[in-house]
Amino acid sequence: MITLDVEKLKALKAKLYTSAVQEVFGDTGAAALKELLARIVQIYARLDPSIRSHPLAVFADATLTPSTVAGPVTTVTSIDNLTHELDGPSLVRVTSSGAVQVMPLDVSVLQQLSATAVVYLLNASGEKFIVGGQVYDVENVVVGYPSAFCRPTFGTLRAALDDYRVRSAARSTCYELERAWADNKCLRFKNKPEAIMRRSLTQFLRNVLRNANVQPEQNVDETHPVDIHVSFLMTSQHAIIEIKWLGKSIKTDGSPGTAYSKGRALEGAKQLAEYLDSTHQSSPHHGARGYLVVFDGRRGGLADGATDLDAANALRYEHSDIDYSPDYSATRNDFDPPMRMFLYPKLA
Amino acid sequence: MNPEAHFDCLRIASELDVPLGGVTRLELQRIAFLSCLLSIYTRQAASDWGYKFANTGTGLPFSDHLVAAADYLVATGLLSETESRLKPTALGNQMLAGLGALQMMAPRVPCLSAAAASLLAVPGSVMAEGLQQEPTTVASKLRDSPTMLLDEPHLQTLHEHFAALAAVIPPGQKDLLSPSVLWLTYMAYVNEAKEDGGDDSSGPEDPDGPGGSGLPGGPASPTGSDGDAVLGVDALEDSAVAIGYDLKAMSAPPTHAPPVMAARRLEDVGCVAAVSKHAAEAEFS
Repeated sequence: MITLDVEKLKALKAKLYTSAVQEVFGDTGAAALKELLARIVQIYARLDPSIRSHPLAVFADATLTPSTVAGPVTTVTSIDNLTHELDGPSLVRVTSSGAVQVMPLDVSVLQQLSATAVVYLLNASGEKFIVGGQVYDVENVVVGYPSAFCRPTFGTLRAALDDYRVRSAARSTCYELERAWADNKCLRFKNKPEAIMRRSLTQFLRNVLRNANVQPEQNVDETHPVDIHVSFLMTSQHAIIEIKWLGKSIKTDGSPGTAYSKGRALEGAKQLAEYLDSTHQSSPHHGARGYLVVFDGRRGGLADGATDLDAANALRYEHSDIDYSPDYSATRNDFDPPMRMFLYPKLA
Repeated sequence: MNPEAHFDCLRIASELDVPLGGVTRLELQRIAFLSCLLSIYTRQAASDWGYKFANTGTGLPFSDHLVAAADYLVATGLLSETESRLKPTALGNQMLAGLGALQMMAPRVPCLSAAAASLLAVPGSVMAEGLQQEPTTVASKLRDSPTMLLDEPHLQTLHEHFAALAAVIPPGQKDLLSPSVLWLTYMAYVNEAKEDGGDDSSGPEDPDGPGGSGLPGGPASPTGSDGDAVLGVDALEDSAVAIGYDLKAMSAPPTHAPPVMAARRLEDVGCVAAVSKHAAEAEFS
């Protein structure tokens, strides 16, 4: 069981903008931060941050005296009424009434502004809070989305998986998934990359499925197929996700590790079908649906010891969809069509 | 009918109405549970919360009082439920104002407000993972059947957590967002480190006697008069070393552990709510 270490807590606290706001501005600042967080999320729900080409700063006053900012001010009574006011470099003051004041952004004023307000900035280098002259970066775990405060939601698990395939997996842009590779060209996986893949997908699903409990499972052996369990509150429906990977791996000593071809995906389909059968027998009143996710890192002509590949070989399996025989997704209604996620190599 | 559960449903839905268009039932359970934890942090007894939580077996804290309250509020038009999201109606806001005027609800408000804001401040994965590492939740997962949460003996470990938390939060500050985010992030981060190949020890174990605060509820110094924590360092250290992270460096002053380096380590193990800190001048230059 986890116990807390005070020194580690202090180290972590020193990096959190929430703690900085509390320390610099006290309870008044914390209230301002709550207002600011709510308004940032609201702004991004209305205006997609991924299409912004200019920086955006948003602030909430953290002292009793409103901060002074020079320049023309456009007042908008509600964030819902924003149209093109934030198109250029913009500085936005939020208020508890819901109204916002929009001003042209001059980033040089932000440091001074942070003495009396909690300031948020989105620019080309990412997101950060500026508190008392210090900058606190915000790490975004929902890779593929421009902001940690942009809250994508999906109506179906399949839609979420497809989004993960495109935004996170394809280019291994997910920090977690990136660690599954043994080399920076993404030619071979590290030995036993399953746990990393499971954690990457679990983390993503937890961030985008607001009404689902996403639970990673520990595989006890190769016959226990469930990698991720997704349950939906107040329903008997649940989903089980089986993860398989294709490609070559390498051991820590540099020797060749396990390698899997498309047969591994077929095994995964069979395992998942058997597990679904078992689940239906043990819990006949619970509707389980199975999802097979295949991380495809296959490369053509990758000889042992090779450290480079031409583009044709590196991308040989880009469009090599797998023919499943039997095709459980066609013959049973609890088996979603398998999803192959081709993981692109990094070519020079 | 449980008035506290009804109030909590309305208040949480109201807090998240503007930014998120309401709250899902799963979020409602998590936020209410986190609110209860924050209440314990403020020295309230767990039994004073008004309703209890159970572990459903999947690590999700669950209260049937909240379910019943949400159902009732939807049925009576005080909450609307569309696209799986609960939103207060005009009538619901009136009811919220009425309930909020009751003195018995006053201590709940800062807990509910901070817990709801935490959902905006940290990623959903940090919220989920952090709560799953709550000591009584961890202990209950080892049992075969659903069990009640926030019960002894493992509640004592939670008290020790909060004693440590209180030791790093400046005294006199009442807002709970900062301790909430700090605790969630720490717990999620430790969990990620363990999953990353570390030793998960042998699972729950009883607290090591009275080495912690010995508190019946809430934060107090767990230490001797010198202020040095005596809370144990768990298997995290070994786990981290095994996977190549120097956690000792994280605890060192900034001169020994440049913030960006430390931040990268946190990022590596999935602690991602907010990381490196650096001078504003460099950022804007």
